[in-house]
Amino acid sequence: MSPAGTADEQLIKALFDDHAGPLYGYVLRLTGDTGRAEDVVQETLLRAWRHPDALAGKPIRAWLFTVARNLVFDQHRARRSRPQETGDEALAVMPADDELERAVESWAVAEAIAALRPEHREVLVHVYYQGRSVRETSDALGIPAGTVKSRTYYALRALKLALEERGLAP
Amino acid sequence: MMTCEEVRLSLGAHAFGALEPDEAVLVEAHLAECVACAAEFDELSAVSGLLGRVGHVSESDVAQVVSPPVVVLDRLLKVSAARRRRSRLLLALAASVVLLAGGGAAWGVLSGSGGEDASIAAEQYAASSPAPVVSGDGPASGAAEDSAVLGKESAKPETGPGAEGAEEPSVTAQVPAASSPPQTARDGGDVRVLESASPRESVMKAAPDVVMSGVEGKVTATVRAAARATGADLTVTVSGADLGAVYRLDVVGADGTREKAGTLEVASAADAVFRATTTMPLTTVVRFELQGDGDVVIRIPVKSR
Repeated sequence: MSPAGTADEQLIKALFDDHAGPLYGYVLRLTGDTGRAEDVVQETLLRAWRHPDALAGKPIRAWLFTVARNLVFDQHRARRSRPQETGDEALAVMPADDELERAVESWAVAEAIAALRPEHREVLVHVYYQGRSVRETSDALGIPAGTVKSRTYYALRALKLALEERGLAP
Repeated sequence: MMTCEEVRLSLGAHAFGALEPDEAVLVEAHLAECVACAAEFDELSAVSGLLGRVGHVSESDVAQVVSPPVVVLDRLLKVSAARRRRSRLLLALAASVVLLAGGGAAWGVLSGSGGEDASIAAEQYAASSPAPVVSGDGPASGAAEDSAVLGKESAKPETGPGAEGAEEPSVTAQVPAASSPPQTARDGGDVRVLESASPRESVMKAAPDVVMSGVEGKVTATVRAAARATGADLTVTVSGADLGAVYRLDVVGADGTREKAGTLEVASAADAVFRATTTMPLTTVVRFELQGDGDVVIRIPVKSR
C-alpha cells in the first residue's frame, strides 16, 4: 500500500468517523430513505475528500450539511423530471442560513449525546427523552434509584464537556 | 436536612424534573441556602435546557449518529483505492518513460536474456528520438471520466501521484498529463514497443520481439514477447521483488479477455527471469499484469503500432 493511498484512506476514515453520524442523521431526516441517505452521505464526504481546498478555513460541518442538503434538493428537482446538476463550486458557496445553523447545532447535540458512555446515555434516554422519573427509570433499568441519580448527574457533566468540545456552550 | 454531597448527586435528575416531589422540595430548600450548590444546579440546568432548546433530536436520531452506515465507508474506500490504482498506472507509464530515456544502459539491465537486441534497438531509438521523455506539462485534456478526481491531481500535483515518490524512487519525471485518462496517457506517453531494427533480424524473418515494462513500488517487471504461430513466448524479468514473492502473470486482450500465462516465484535476490507462453496473438494483447500478494498489480501496457 502506497503512503499516498494510506493518507487518502486515513483522510476518508477521519471524515467518516468525525462527520458521518450527524450527517447521516440529518440526511435521513431530509430524505426519509436510508438508501438515498447513504448515497448522499457518500457523495458529500467524497466531495470533501476531493476538495480539501474548498474546506480550508470553513467550518467543515456546515459545509458538509450544505452540500448534503443541496444534493438532496437536487435529487428532488431531478425527480420532478427537471434534471439539473449542481457543480461543486455552486454547492460550496451557498451560505449557511438559520435553518442550516440550527440543523448543525441539533446534530452536534445528538453527536454529543452519542459520545456519552452507554450507561450515561441510557439514563438520559429514560429521564430526558422518555420523561421518566428517577423511580420509573430505576424500575425500568433494574438499578437502584441512587445509581440513576448519580448517573444522570455525571451524564449531564459529561454532556456539558462534549457540547463545549463541539463549540456549543450551554 | 440534606448534605451538599447528597444534594449534588440529585441535581442532575432535578434539572430534568425527574425527582420525586418530596425529594424535590428538600433539594429546593437546600439550593435556596447554598450558593455553591445553586451555581452547580444552574450549570446543569443550562445543559438540560440546551437539549430542550435545540429540540427534535430523538432517541432514534442519536442511535443513528452512534452507528452511521459502514457501507458508506466501504464504498468511499473503494473509490479511493480505484483512484490509487489509476495513479499507479500513470506512475508506471512515467517510470517506463524514464527508463527509455536512459537508453541503452537502462535496457541492458532490464531486458534480460534478449538484452543485446533490445539494447541495440534502444540505442537506435534513443539516437533517433533524443527526447522521448514526456514533460510534465502535457495536455490537460478534460477527461470526462472522473474529471473531479483527476482534476484535483492536475491542480495539485504535489498531492497527486508525485507524492508517492517516496515509494517510487525510480520516478523522476512528472507524471504526464495527469488529467488524461490512462488510454490517452498511453498513446501520448510512451511505453514504446521497441522492435529490433537490426538488419540481422529482418534477414531471419523472425517476428520482432516486443519489449515493455511496468513499475509498481520498488518492483520493476519487463516482458519480452516473441510472436509464435499461435500466441507468443514470453520472457519476464522481475527485479526489486522480495525473495519468495509470487506473481501470477495474466495476459489481457483488447476485448477484455484474460489468460493466465503462468505463475512466477522470485527465488533469487537478483533479477529473476521467467519464461511463459500465451496463446493470445500479440496483436490483440493490450497489457500484461503481474498480480502479487494482496492487491499488488504490476501493469505492463503494450503499445501496438
